[in-house]
Amino acid sequence: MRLVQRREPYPLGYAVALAGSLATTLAAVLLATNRLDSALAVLAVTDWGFYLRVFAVVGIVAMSGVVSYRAGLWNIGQEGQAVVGALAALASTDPLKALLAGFLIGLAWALPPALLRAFLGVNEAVTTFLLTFVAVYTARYFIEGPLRDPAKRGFVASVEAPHLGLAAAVGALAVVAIGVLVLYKTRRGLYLRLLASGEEVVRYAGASPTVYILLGLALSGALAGLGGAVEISSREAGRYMTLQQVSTGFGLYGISAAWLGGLSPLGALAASAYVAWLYQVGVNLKVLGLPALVANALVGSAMAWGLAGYVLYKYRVVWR
Amino acid sequence: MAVELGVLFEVFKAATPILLATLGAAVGQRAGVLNLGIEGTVYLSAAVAALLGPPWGLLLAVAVGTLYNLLYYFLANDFALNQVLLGFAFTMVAYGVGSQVAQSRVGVPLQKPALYGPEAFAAAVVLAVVVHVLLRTRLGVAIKASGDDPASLDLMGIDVYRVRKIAGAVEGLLASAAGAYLVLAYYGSWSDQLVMGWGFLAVVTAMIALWRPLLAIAASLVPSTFISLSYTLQRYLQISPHLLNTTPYLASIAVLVILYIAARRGAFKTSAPRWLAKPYIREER
Repeated sequence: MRLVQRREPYPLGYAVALAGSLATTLAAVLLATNRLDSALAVLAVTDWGFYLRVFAVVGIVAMSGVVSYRAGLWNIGQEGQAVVGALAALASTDPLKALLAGFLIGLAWALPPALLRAFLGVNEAVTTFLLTFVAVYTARYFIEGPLRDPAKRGFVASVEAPHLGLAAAVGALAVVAIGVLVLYKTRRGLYLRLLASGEEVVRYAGASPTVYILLGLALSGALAGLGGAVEISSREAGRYMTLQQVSTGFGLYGISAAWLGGLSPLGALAASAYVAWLYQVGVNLKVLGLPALVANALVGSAMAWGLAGYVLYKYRVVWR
Repeated sequence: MAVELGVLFEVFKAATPILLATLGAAVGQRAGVLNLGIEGTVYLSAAVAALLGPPWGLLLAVAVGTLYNLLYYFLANDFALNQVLLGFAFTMVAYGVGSQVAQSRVGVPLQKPALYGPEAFAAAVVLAVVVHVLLRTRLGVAIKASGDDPASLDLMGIDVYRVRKIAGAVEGLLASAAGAYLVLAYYGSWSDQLVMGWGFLAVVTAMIALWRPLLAIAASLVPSTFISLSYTLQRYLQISPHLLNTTPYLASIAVLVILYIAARRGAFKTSAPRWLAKPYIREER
């Protein structure tokens, strides 16, 4: 087997990836439920309000992925950035402040890996992901300490985040998506995308790669933090964290949507609709008594298919 | 004194799985593959080991973990999927599948294997020497070449993808041994969250060890010291255990950064594989 570069890119590669992911999901659901009618029930969306909310959050985190990967930067710490973004939302008094705080704290969380990559060349994939574990433990500290709700006696939980309406959540996604689209039309956005071709290319174009490494990773972290803030404050009920429920998995969902969408902002939006459906399937499976992490397996495989879509977009597979 | 000895015992106990996985990660990264999915390999093999218990669980865990790691190597190299993100995906799939596989075993105490404690660490040190020797054989040279200059290796008539898959099998073998040890000997029971993060620390310790198996023995003590201390200090200090739990990760990053700064100042030559995390596509050489 070998890969031969295509003369023309092949957009259908992503359709193949989507079909592959769909087939994997169906097979996994059938395997888990063992019966056709219960499998069909698992595949149905039951609550469209919930679905739209998930779509908005996945979409925002997907934009974080697009910004990073289109620049050839490997931020995979969206989960941790979303966790600290949600923490910031818990500490805020009104929804607008919650979103702003989430954005800024996500940016701050991505800054150390960004600085280490820009000035020392430390691999950012490793540092961003390690900081995810740090984020989860830090969140547990805040839930038990400074942000604990004393009113919930005998039950360790944080204070509640301010409520953000569904329309506002979808609006936040629209703002982010338009923002990224506009950014890519500007000179700065062009340099940011050039970075994927190598630091020298940016230097020859007359810009400083260091600046754009910092910009790309910081913006990516900020968007993931915003996604975390939107997630916790747009919930209908239970807008708080407990020690067991810190991580939500949306980091993974967003990254998968970014790749399935071919790393284009509009494609990522479409893919977010699909990944949000996968989330619904995961929730339905959980109702049947499967562990929460099983949903991760579905989305993880969707992500692998998205990566395969990217390869098929650029290369032809020759079996010989 | 007794307390200090106890801590030392704990440090070696925690260092064993990290050293095993670090050796695996070092071989894989030397071959030019930055496999973050090693976390998934550790998790999945731990789940299988927890399901069956020793001795069959141990054998099956190693077999399953090695095959899972090989699948990653096939997709990341032959099929050139992005190494970093595919590793992330493999970790998530393993979290999902592993938690389902071992669901019935949550909280059930497991039978200890024959080898645990400092003796197991001694065995891991012997393995480090074996890996050190392996990297000096003809195969080892090919593995290192595949990470530094795969095009030249290919021109010499050696199949880069095959060399990488061999490295992947070695990595998978060591990482799944680490996973089985973690659940059987270190924790003695299974829960969804316990085995998370260990494989990932190994990716970093392999870098701290400058990809050298003998240095890995010392490097594996960095996170394990902090893991053990975070347990012990909880009894003596008024610090939240959650904050103490962040120290293994922060300390590993800090040591890595110090090494990068030292290397930049010319204190030593880094032997970072030049093709680390870059896909090798034959048609483009």
